[in-house]
Amino acid sequence: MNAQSNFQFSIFNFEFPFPLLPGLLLAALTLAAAPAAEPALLIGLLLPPEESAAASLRQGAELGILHANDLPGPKVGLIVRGRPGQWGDDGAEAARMVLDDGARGLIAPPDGAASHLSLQVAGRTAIPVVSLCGDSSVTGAGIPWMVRLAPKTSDEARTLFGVAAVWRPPPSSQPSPQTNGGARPSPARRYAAVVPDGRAGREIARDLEAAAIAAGCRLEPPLPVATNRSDFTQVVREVLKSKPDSVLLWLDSPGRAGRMVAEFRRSGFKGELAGPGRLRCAEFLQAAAEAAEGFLVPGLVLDPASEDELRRFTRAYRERFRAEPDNAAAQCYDAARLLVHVLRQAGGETAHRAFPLTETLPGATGPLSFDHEGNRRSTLNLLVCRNGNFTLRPAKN
Amino acid sequence: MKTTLASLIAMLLVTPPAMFALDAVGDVPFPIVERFENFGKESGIPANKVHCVTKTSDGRLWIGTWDGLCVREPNGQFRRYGPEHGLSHKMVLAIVEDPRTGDLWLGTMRGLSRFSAGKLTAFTQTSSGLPNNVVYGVALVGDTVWAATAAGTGAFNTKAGEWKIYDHNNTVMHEPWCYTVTGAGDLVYIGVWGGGIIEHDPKRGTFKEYRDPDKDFHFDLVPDDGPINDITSWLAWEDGILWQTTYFGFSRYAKGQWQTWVETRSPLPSNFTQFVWPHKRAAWVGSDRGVSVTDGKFWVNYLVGDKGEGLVEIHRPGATQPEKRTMSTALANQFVLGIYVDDTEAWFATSKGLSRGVFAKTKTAVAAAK
Repeated sequence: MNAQSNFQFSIFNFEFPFPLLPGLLLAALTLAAAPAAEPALLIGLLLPPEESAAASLRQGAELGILHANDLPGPKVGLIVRGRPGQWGDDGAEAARMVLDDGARGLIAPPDGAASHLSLQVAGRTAIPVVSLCGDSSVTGAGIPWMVRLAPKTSDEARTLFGVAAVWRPPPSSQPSPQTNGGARPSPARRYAAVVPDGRAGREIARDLEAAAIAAGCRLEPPLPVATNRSDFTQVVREVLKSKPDSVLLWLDSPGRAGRMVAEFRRSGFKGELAGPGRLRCAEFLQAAAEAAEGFLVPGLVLDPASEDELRRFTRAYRERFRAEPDNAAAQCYDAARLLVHVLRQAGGETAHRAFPLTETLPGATGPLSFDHEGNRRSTLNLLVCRNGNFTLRPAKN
Repeated sequence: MKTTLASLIAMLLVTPPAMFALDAVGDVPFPIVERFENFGKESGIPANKVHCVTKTSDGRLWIGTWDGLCVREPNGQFRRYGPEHGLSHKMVLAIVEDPRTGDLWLGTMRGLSRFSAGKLTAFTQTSSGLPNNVVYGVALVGDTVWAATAAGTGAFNTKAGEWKIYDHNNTVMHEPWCYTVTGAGDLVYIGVWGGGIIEHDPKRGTFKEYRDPDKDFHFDLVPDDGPINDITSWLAWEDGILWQTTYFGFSRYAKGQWQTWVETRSPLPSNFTQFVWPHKRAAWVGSDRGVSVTDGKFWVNYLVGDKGEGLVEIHRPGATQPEKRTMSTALANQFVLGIYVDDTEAWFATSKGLSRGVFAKTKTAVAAAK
């Protein structure tokens, strides 16, 4: 800055300071290379190293920040941190982003443990958090200044339980006049589920079981699968012992879920296979290959404003990253834009007082609307994989 | 008549305000804050956010802030200690004193620190046996410093210099995330984020878990059946009573009985309770809506109005409506993160400065003064 002032002064006096030329050139180059302005607001994204959708999440957030900076208001920057090395931990990184980097809001990843660690920091610092985790325990933590952008696992499961039962009712069940073509599950239908081992699987299993009870379905105890297991032959055999009509694959990574889908089909299983909405990604489709045909996932219903938002996001993502965006990227894009919106509206330090959020905004994943507990208000419909694309599943008579 | 009226007016004018407070609240069985004195950056506090406050046995006041540890000097100004002085991290979340040595043990966002003989020493995950660097709570029981961290509770025996770690692998903890810890005579209570309360007897090596029996995240379906929620934000123990704050209300455990309070069924102004300081069988509870003081029957709430004015609500048992008053001063902020209370005064750490609560004089004190 001083060098710049000195240069202007010399021009006005027509005395160019030749002895200072190398220094001035260096200063000019430094100024040219520096960003135009420091961002006034920083958003932190916590990305544990094992997060399978890390690249999509980061790119989605980057694009969200880029688009937010097109709008009026303070400029925004993004910080991304994840657990470093053997001794690192996600809680410390979440704290570091808030306290050392100056992040005014956090995006917590789909992993439940990392989301809770972010919320613990938020509990002591009043920093707003947008979580991408579907576990019911995340909003159950009771942090008033958080919202969950991903649909709840139990809501996704209920969609799958309900609609799947109407799609192919067992011969013994009679059509009910109350269903009227809608989702009404059959208690006779038998579901099985595969979940990760450890804490993540425990939370998913609890939510799936709660959803099954709410939907009146029969769900076998979900089978935990070790995250380092790569041979699924025995797992598939174990699951099929209960002779399920449908199997829910709620695994930790889309690639593993895809490989397990292929294994189910290789075993000769003809029933329905379904999973969470985050399986709408290239990694799952590539791993499952032709076995993905007919795979069911829930998807949020979009209103016209959100359809516009999705088109804008998809176009920009393709242009910037030369790749097709997936569900994780779209969620993180919405999370970043939502946080920026809240921080700008609230004016920084008092942002936690803007919660619970009452405003509805258009999002690439659907309307961004939340209940008083921070859960996404969502209407889900059923998507089916046809020829490598997830499309709205036609209603069955 | 004129003389009588003039005398009455004169008497009213010379009577100190404390006397009005005394007459009106003499039935409340715990001290009443008459006014607040607030301290901020002008007093040398380096950050608006004050996370904890305590008074040590030598009478000095210490606060943990977003940007360092501070001690109040005799001239009223605060002197800061930061990472440049050896503090493990600038944000100090908890302070406890070892009454025998006068040492302070500090929980910070990156490690445990010890303030001894004017020097700070840092204990981190890599330099000691601390289970995790994010230290949310600290307690001292005998020779052992207990640190509640984001991945288990660490117990540091100061005589032996040895660490033990307690988490979900070697105890009944449902989750490893420890948010608070407190001593209770020979016992230790650990508040677990998502795991309720763990009662540990170090001598016997036993662990007992107290969980919310109704297992509902959002509602206290059956009052007084156990801890109000499994997300424990703070624990404190005094005189045989354990107090638990959560983001869904708060609880008391004494003689095997639980009692729970939520905002819809009690005078508690907010379910988001994050700190409790017990003093003489009354709990001083910090929330996002101010401070509540209760012995379980009487309640006094100190709130901040829309215009920043101080409000006090006195709820008496059996009364249908609370007595409401406007105070001449208010808490520095309604978001209360830490509290210290003794017989003479109360201190409040808030998200926008530090407040001192000046007590109204009791009948005994007034009589003694006369």
